[in-house]
This record gives sequence, structure tokens and C-alpha cells, in this order.
Amino acid sequence: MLKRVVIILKRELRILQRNPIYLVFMVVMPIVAVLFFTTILSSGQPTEMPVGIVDEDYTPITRRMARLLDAFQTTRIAGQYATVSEAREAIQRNEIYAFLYVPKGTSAKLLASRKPTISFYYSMTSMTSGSLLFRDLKTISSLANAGLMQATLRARGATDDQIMTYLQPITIDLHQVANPTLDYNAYLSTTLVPGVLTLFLFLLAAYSLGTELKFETGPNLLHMAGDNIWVAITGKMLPLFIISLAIFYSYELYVYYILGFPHLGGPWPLVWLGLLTVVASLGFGIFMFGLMPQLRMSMSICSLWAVLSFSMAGSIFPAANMDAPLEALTWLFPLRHYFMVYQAVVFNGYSVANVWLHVVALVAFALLPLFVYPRIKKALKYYVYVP
Amino acid sequence: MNIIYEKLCDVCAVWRDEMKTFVRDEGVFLFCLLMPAVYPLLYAWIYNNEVIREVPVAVVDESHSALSREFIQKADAAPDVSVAYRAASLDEARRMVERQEVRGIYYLPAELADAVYEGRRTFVSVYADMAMTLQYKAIYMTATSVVGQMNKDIRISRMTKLTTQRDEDISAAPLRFEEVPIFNPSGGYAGFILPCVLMLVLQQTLMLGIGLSEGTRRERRRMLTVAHLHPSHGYGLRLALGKGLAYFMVYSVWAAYLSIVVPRLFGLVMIAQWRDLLAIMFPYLLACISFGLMLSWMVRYRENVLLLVVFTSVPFLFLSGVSWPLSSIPVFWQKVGALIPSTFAIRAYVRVGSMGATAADVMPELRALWIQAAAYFLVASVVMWRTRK
Repeated sequence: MLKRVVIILKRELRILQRNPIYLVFMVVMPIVAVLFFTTILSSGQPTEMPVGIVDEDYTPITRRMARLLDAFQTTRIAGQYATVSEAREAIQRNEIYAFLYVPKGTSAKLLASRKPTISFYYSMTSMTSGSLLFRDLKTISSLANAGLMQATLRARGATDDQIMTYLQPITIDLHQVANPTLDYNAYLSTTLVPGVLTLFLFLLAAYSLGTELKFETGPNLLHMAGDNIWVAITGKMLPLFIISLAIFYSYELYVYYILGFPHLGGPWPLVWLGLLTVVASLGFGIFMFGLMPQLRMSMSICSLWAVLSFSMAGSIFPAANMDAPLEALTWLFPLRHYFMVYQAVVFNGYSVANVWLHVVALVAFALLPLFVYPRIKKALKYYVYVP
Repeated sequence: MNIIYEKLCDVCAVWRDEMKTFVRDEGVFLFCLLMPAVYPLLYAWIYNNEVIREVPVAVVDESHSALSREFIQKADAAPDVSVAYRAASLDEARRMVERQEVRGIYYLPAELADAVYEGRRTFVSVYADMAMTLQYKAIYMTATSVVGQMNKDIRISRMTKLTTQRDEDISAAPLRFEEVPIFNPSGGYAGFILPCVLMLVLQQTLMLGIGLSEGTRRERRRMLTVAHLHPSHGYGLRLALGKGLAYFMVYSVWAAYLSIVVPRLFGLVMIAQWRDLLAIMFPYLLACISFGLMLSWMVRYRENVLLLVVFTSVPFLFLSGVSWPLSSIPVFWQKVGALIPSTFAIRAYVRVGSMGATAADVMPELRALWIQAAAYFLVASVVMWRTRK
């Protein structure tokens, strides 16, 4: 039996050699994907986002505020505008993402203790920049107020310590567990890249079985496998499995040990989670092919599934906030389980016991093909390809 | 005159042939007729709830004071966070985080109330699970605003010399800051991601459809779907025109559906004038069709196109510079993005649709789309002519 597996394996290797598509989508494109996501997000957090200022007052006080805004790492003052509508048009032309509006008479009102209002306009059409700019604005508004009160209190003879106690009796002591720098690269790449890898695995599994039908080599394959579907599929999937696992491990090695993404769970979870993800994705691809033993349909369904995975993984928009039926449907996506196990075990370093159901789900995906082996066998034997 | 008429006939024949594949070829049917209808609805459903509400947190209250109770009440009353558990110790709360029951912890130290009454500085600890930024943001921002309010109250209570409420108010915060989210004002996730997805669905399904239909054609080794269309001068041009026309007709309907109907259906901000939308969608469709026709020569077997196009969906979304700010995208990737029609269409559509810009404001994007449409069409015609054998 083992001998037959080796025969099929050799046959498969010849196919891989002949059809460049395998090499491209097993090795080249995954590497491109890893490089794409890790370089595009390499700054970790968006920095130096262009913002504008509409300063109708233009006094030393308001200029100091503008400098304060400019000094933040996330923002850069890209332009001064004469009116609010000019600044709004600049946002519409994508020149700036937000602007600070200081109306005329702000300084005078401030000196007269008449509580002037300053407005910060920001666009939420881009969520990442919008929410980061909003956070900066919050900081600036409290800093500006603190600065003003500080001056008053100092004039009354208070010490710095007294001033701070007065201004902020309670402070927030923030613990950003596991990702203290709020690195978006570590946060996004760790789901998007595995998402792309599982996508290729879905499709390649269905593709490699489907092409047997397309080129009508199914009977030959079964014959070489001694009419044993287990041998045929094992032999066919082995090269895909080994190469993809190697790619998955290389990706993990690169992001966790070279780029230093947080992984409080240490190396072992990376090893078994990588293995589980690869076999679960292959299992899903084979299963889909078994359900619809036809190259085109199985690949189409696999692609629809794979594209939805990115949203259904719930890594960006949490599954708990989706409608209840959708939250239940997330269980049908291997990437969802990868993400749940990853965030608990790899990222935070919690025990597997907390997410054991998701581990079981991944194993179940890997075992799914067993149900459709008879169907695949039948298809390989009797199917006639219609282009 | 006769020649022009004949060539027009050729174009029409190619068009008729291509129109038939929409219903005959199940792959083309699935990607060009079914997916553009269903996918947007699915995505709209996924992001239906827009914002993150009631993120569960655990509270460890070691202070047991009126002040700590005030904090807990205010945090629980805030829309983004819900106090799901009161833990006896930080360790217990940590275990809850590990079991994924809560996403963060508010820790109120024993000295909290005493310190405030004695006029010392004290703190509230916030522990957040960083696996999901939106939840982290909800937990942290709620703590910041609750503590901010409480600080203000404490400051006011310490001011004895002030008499009127207005005085108190001004001394607690001399300057008022107003935050105005101008576009996508609810700050919802759907309002931000859906416009991009809608535009992307157009391009990706078009590319899939064209790729599949071209793949079938090449597989059958039958370049001439129309018998009397001889490989002569201008052959590629007529083929590209005829095919392009067929896709353009079908996708005009989809473009209208995706850019007007779907946003209305889900109550997204959609303030564009029809002229401005037309100014974007027209060159966008042309650019996508030419792009698809041009790439279709890469497809030796029709299934290969699935692998290529499906994978690029997420990267293309990033290249548009909406989900990740354009100013933070490396120049190299910006240049790659400039080759893709969706990059410009998404930018233009978001600005016109959700930000109320006019066609004049998105001129650079429109120009880019027209250039892409023309350039890809030319290349596509040349490629078709060269592979005519």
C-alpha cells in the first residue's frame, strides 16, 4: 500500500512539474502575499497623516495649539485653509483627513473666561485614520485645557505636583496586553496572510482533483492506486500538503521571529496550529470537490467561501457583533477557527483548554473528506469532462 | 461604406455570441449574473450592526466606595461597554479573559476613594485584550471618558471659592472642544467598508467572468466564435469591441444596482448626484472590461483565472487606500495600485458617494480611469490579434 502511495506521489510530482500553476500558487503567490501585507503595514500604525487647520483667530495661543497638533506622531499639518468649506473640499480631494477649526475671537473669549469652542472635523470614511485622529484630538483637547489651567494655577502659586493632582485626580493606567505598541501589522497580517494561504489551499486541493476529471486521467489514477481511493488521494495531496506546510512555517518563522510579532504562546502552538490549519484547509477543498465532483463548480464554491472567510473570521469586525445567524455561520469557515485559536493560544498565550472547541472544529474540517471518498471515487471512474 | 457596415456586423456578431455565454456558461452565469446580485447583500448583512456595542468587561472593585460604584455604573451605562462580571480578584478576572468571557478588565484599587478624598493622585487600571482593535478601542475609550467626567466633578468639588455653576464649568475646562465626524458620521463599519466592497465586486466579478469565458474559448481551440470573422486587419479590435460591448451592457445594470440601489437598501450615506456617479462608473466599467480582456490571455485553462482573481481581492482593497491610509502605503505599492482600476474607482466613489464631492473634485481619479481604459483596450486588441491562430 505504501508503495502505491509513493507511485501516486511520483506521478503527482510530475504533474506539479508540468503545470506551472502549482508552483506559482503554492510558493510564489504566498510569498508575494506575505511581503505585500507585511510591507504595506510595515509602519505598524499610520503616522504623519495629513491634517489641516482653519485658524480664523491667528493669535499666539491658537498657533501654539496648531504646533501641538503637528507634534503628534500620527499627524502632520499639511495645509492652512481660510474657511471651513475650503478645508472640507480639501478632505473631499483627499489632501487631508481631518482639520481643526478655530473660530474668530477664540483667544479673546478665552482671556475673558467665556469658554470658546474649537471644532475638530474628521472623516470616518476611513476607519483607521478616523479613529486614530479622534484619539489624538481627545488628547489635544485635554492637554490644551490642562495647559490653560496650569497657567492659572501656577500663577496662584501651586506646585507642579499639586497642579497635576488637581487636574487629573484619577489617571488611567493602561495595560495593552500582548501588543503594547498597538501594531496594526501584527494585528492584520496574522489573519490576512493565513487567509490567503487557506484560500490557495482550498482552490489547489479542488484543482488538483478536478484536473484529473478534466484531462480524463481519473481511471488511470485509480488503476495506479490499486483501485484504492485512500491511496489515490493521500498520494495526490502529499506534495501539496508538504510544500504548503513548509510555506506556512516559513511565514510563521518570518513574522514571529524576524519581524517579531507578539506570540506569548511560544513556538509550539505555532507548530501545531500551522499543521492544523493546513490540513483543515486541504480537507475543506477535498470535501467541496467531493460534494460537487466537477472542477469548475467546486473551485467556484471554494473561491466564494474563501473570500467570505476574511469577513467571517471576525478578526476585524467581531463575530459577536454580527447578527445571531451569521455568528453561527462563522463556524463553517476554517479561517474563523484558526483566528480564535491564534488569538487565544499564540497571541495571548492562554491555555488551549479555553478554545478547545475551535481546535475540534479544525480537526473536523480535516476529517470531512472521509464522508465523500466514495463519491470522489465514482467521479474519478466514470466522469466525462464537458468543457 | 460597405466595409464599415460589414465590420459593424462583425462586432455585433461577436456581441451576440458573448451575450449567449452569459446564460450558457454556468461559470460566467455564476460570476457575472449571480454574484454581483448576492454578494453585496451578504456583505451588507455581515456588517449590518455597524458599530461595536456592549463589549463585555470584568470589574475588580477593591475600593468598595461610592466613587468606585460611580465608575462601574457609568461604564456600564456607556453604549460601548457592558460590565458582565464582578470579579473578586485580578486573577479571577484574568481567567475570565482567558476563557474569552470578557475582553478586558477595569481594576479599581483599594486606595481609590481614600486617595481622592485626601487629595493624592490615584489610578484606575485598564487591561485590554489586544486581539481585536475595535474592542480594545471601546474598552479604553469608555474608561477615558468616564474618568474624564469624574475628574471634572472632583475638580469642581474642590473649588470652594467659586460660586456660580458657570464659574465652575469654566474653571473645570476653560476651552470647549467639539468633535464633528463629518463623513460617515455614525462611524460605522458598514459605512466605511461597504462602498469599497461594492466597487471591488464589480471589477472582480467582471474579471472572473471575462477570464472564464476567454478560457473556455481558448480551451476549445476555437478562436473564431463567429464563422465569418476572418483573421484580417483590425480583427483584434472588432473582437475586443464586440466582447466589451456585451459585458458593458450587462454591467451597466450591475453598476447602477451596486452604486445606487444597494446603498439605499441598507441606509448607507449616498449623497452623490447621478451625473457624478455616471462620470465615475462609465470609465470604470470600460477600464475593468479592458483590463479583464487584457489579462485573459494569461489564462491557459479557465480555472486558473479563479486562483488569480480571487486572491487579489483583499490586496486590491488595501491598495485603494481607504482601509489603510494612503499616506502610509509604501510608494512601490502605490505605483502597483495605480495599475488597477478599482484603486481609483473606490477612491472616487467613496468621495462622491459618502463625502459629497463632485466629479470635478475627483478629476485626477477619473483621468486615471480613462487612461487605463484606453491603454488596456489597446493592449487587449493587440494581444487578441496576436493570439488569433
